[in-house]
Amino acid sequence: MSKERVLDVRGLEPPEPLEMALDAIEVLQPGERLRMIHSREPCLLYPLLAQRGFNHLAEAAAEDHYEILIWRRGDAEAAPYGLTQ
Amino acid sequence: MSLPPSLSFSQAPPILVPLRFFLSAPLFALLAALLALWYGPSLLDSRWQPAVLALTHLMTLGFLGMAMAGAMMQMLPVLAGSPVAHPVGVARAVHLLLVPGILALVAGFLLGTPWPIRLGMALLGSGFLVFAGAAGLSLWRAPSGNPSVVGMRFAVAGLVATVALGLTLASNYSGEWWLIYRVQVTNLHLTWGLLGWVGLLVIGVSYQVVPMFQLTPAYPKPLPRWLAGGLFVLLLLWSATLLLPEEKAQEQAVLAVGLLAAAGYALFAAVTLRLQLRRRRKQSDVTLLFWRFGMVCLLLSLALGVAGQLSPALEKTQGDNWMLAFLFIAGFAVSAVNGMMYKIVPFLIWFHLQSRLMGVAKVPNMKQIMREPGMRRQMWLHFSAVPVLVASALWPVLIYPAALLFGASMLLLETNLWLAFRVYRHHVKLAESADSKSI
Repeated sequence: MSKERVLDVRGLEPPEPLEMALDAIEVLQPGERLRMIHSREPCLLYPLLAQRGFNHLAEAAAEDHYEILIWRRGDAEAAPYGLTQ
Repeated sequence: MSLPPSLSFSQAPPILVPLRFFLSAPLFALLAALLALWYGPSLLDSRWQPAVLALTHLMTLGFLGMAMAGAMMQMLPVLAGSPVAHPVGVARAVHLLLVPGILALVAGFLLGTPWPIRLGMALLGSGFLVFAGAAGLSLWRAPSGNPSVVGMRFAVAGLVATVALGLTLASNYSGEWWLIYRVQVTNLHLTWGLLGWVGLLVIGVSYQVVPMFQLTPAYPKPLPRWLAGGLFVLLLLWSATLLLPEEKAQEQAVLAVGLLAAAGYALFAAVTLRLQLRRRRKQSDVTLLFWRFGMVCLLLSLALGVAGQLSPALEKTQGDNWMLAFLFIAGFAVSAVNGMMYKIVPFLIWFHLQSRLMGVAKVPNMKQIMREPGMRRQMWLHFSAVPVLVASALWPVLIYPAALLFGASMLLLETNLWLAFRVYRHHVKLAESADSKSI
């Protein structure tokens, strides 16, 4: 069972949400993933994640926010929904 | 889907794509201030003087046109999710055509000789053709559900109308023919330029950048859905009134359409001010203050415009037109662009450094990239320049202090932008030297 850290960045000014996400992924342990809660889809974060070896999956969780799952590439235990990459 | 829209990125253009435009823009405004100092109060004798035409185009094409073209090149991939094809080549071509084009047009006005105007027409016409073509194609591909995309589409259509009317007027100015409807075409040219291109672009972009950067709630839904389209239709109707046969009917139609359009823009300004009052963070912020000042100036210029339409006596006085133009261009448009530059430029530098400095050094934060005291000083210079400029419509001698304050403000804006760019270059050099050591 993978563990999740939750990071809620709603209401923060750019680039704080990106800074916090980049800091948070640094300390992810094997088998752990990050669930980022944001009022919009942080598309600018994705290339920075890819560059650092992380995958992401964005879900429009509700009317007013997105949830983005982030995990280290190759960490099968942390990948959501049994995703293999 | 009603989620607030986001910055999307995968093809974010290299930093110089928008920055070359941002760094050029204040220099044109500085040139406008120097011209105002040179010509002095006589500028306010008539709006048809060549020096006034030169000065106006330095502001509209040079400052606003440059900054808005640069901002759009950056925002199309980011806000609309649809990048401009070949961004580096397009930005370089547009920049290289527009800069000498503006200077040639302005020189032609000042010297009173036709050939620089014709050269300016060729350069500006082709520069805007490349820009509108590239931006239009990107907007064509972008998802239609996004209100910013819709706003930008109408804005680009407004730009095309402005340029076409401008080229007609310039060919009349530099050619051997006389346009009978010169006054009406000039009024249409500036209506499309200011309310169409500038106004609709600010409105379209605001739907995303105001909630995102000024931390306000989202705009109430009917506004993003209807306003830009409604205003565009009003501008079309405004143009169509020229076709009416009788002068009386024409005047009444212009009055009706003008009042409705003013109500639309006033609604936008009022809603933006209200959203800013409901922002989540309470500290004052330079961009927020620039926008608040800009929206108040927009409301004042609309009130003056409406008063002028309703009371013909007021419309006949020159002072009224000058005040309206100063409030709209320097008060509203320059403030909105200036304020937004202070968010976009440090953000872009932060973003590109974040990618460039990975594993090499810590990325400086936004406040280290663009220093707060410098921004505040420039903001106060601008806030003092605008009222003095507006007052110069009544007391023309005030054009001297107004031009000095405005020129100083633009010089400081240019300095602030260069200092931020220097931070970028310094860190890129750090990354390069680290790269070469690791090889």
